[in-house]
Amino acid sequence: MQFNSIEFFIFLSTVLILINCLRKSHYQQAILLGGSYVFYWSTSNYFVILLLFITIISFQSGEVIYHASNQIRKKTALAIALTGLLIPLGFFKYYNFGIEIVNQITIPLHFSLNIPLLDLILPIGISFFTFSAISYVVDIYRGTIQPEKIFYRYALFVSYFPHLLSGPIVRAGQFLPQLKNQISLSPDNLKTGVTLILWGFVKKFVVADNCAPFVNAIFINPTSSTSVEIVIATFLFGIQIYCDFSGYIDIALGAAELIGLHLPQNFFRPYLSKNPTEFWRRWNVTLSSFIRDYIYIPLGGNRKGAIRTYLNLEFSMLLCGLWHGAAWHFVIWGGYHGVLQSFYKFFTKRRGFFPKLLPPLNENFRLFVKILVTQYFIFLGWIMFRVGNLSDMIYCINKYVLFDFNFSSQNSPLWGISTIIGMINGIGLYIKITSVITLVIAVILIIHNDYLMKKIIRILTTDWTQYFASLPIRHWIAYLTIMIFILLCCTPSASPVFIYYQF
Amino acid sequence: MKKDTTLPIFFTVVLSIGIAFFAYFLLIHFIVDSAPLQNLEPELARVTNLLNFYEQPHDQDIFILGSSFVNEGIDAFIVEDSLKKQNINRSVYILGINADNPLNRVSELDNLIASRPKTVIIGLSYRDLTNNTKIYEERLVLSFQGKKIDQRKQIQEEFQPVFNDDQIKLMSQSPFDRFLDKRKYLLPSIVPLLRRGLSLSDGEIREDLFVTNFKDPWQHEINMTEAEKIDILKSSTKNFSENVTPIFEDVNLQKKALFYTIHRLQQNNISVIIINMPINPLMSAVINESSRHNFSNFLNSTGVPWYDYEQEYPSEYFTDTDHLNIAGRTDFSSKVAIILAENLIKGE
Repeated sequence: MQFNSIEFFIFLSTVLILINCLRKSHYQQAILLGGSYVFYWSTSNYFVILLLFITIISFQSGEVIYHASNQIRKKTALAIALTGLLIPLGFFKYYNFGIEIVNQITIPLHFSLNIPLLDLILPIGISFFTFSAISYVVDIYRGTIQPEKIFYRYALFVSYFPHLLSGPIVRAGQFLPQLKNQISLSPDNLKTGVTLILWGFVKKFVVADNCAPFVNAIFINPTSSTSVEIVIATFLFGIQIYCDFSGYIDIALGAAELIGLHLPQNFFRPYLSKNPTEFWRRWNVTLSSFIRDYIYIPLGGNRKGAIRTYLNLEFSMLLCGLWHGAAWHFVIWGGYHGVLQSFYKFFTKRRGFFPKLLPPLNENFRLFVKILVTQYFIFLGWIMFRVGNLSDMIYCINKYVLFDFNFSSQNSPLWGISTIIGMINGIGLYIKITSVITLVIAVILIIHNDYLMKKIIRILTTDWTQYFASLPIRHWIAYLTIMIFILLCCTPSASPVFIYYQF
Repeated sequence: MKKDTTLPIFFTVVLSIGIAFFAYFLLIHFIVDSAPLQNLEPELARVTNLLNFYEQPHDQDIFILGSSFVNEGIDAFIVEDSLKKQNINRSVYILGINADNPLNRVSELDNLIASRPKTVIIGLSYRDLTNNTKIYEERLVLSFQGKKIDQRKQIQEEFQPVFNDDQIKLMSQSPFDRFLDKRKYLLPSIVPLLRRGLSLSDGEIREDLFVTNFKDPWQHEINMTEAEKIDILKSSTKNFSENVTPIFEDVNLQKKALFYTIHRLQQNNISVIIINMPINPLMSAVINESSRHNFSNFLNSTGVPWYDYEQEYPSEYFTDTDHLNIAGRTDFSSKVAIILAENLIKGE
């Protein structure tokens, strides 16, 4: 059952109607729980048993950990719980990857194990609900929360359908307290929910899905592409993955808002980050905070000296990359972000380093340069994320970093854009240089204009969903109509599934 | 739930959906549905016109099907004139679609049969019987649009082994799905509206004529030199090392589609003739013997008369490696008339 299907709307409407009809909170929660399991069954069939297994293991483990009489028993119970929770994830997601590594390692040792790979299907959402369960048991171990006494409430926390398939990764401490009260549908929640859902649909189906053909056209065979094509495809992929993932999250948050059980936001304008560390406080925030709280900090965080800090950071980011998929390019991407963050930490420790690089410049300009430079490296990372083949990846990175100034557009798969490239190619050198200089001057003038910059920053930082959700109904209808109209006109015929379903 | 404050929200959502759909309907109706067919891709416009053409009865007429080989290689007026000289009065129509192949034609068969031609000539080349199974999906959608549901169901069952699931899904689009799918024509419809405010280029005028014309051949403006033809062939065959049109012994989907086409036409008392269309000897030289052998064996197995004109003309009679020029077309059209006369007289 996809979010954009008629079945999902019927399902969501049915759940809302039933919740509204039933006044008692435990009936409402039972409906939500049953609905969530039906939702997962429709998506993943018999893997619903796996979901139940994870739920039972983590629930029981929480009890055992909480009631353990001493620290050693607590630790042992935690270790067993984590093992039990990670085994299914490890098996379904990483078994074949691990076997491939073992088979490859044995080749140079002159004996080949040739262990066969299994034909495994990755249960959708396993990474997300497993991490939610892990956070529950670890939080109980740390004493941050108490175990939930009522099993169906805990089961609802793990399986709550808006976040079940692709996040956000919810902590028990954020979600379970909401279940103490009766759910009541409020007009504000309904407006916010519908606003978010439409916003998410437009991001995913209008923006992300229309970028996809261009991105795929280049990255399917990148070695025949020029630098300008690689750069454009990388930029479009950055837009695609942001709109796809954050669009999904918006729909999930919107569905949750309709019901009245809120989920945490996962994206805070990541492409306005001024440094790599800030990027991870804005991108997939629930995952990055999970990595920070449950991997980076237990390893020692930044409390064990500089070298250890960088190692902890690198290891955490490698795991973050690996979480995204059992493939080397995800690990490389994660490791790359670890290096970026380590470099940033290293250079910012030397106070005054950056001011020396950017002498007397307007604050807006410094902000603009920081964002530009950060995003240059972030988008470079997207090449590693997107391109699975190592030699293709090296080619693309080479073309991205060492721009070849080749504007030939013949047979470019980026039709339309190739027309623009061709036009640029046809323009005389003098006009090209003049145009670039004019553009640079215009940008500098805008940046130095405080009034304009304040306006631009205000536009970029406004929470537009909240703004539209708070409009009076007679204006809100215009928002709804325009968004639905845009969806009708601009959704491509064939929509790819959400990118983060595969994680 | 406070009914007095949440119901307005519900009604607002329903109302906005209604307004948005209505606005979308207006856009589709006034921009897409009313737009000249030429705003679509020329091939698609030609197919649409072809389906309209089939709606008229064409008893005793001659249809010539095929790809650009047919569009550029046969002049219907020359064929008609040659037939008249033998006291055979028939209308001849050139119904080629560029890059056509038997599989793409299958979905239009019912329409063709309904117009009741006397004879169908299928102009084939090696490219038509390779393992290529690419189907122009819009043709599927167009040809299924007007059909009743039970007709479509029957056709789907017949075509099941020929088309894949996505193509079957396209054929069974509901009117509502089709209505939503028309959004992909918005940009192609709007851009030409702006463009046609300016004067049309010669190329566009020629394209417009071709889209609706089932008589005049498509005439290339440029004739390649022999050196250019060799260069093209060199790059497409990787220095003459590859056969670009391999044909294997097994009955692939294209062959199945051709069998099916012949069978259906004959079932409806429409006689069928196959012509292996002339190709440039430069191209002919790179076709390996095995492909040639499999091709002719297959045509023999169809049971219909077929004529081999592959190596009929020298390179000077071609505009490029594939298509006849004026000289080639003029001569070949009279040969087509001879074939037709022979078969029509035999049939009587």
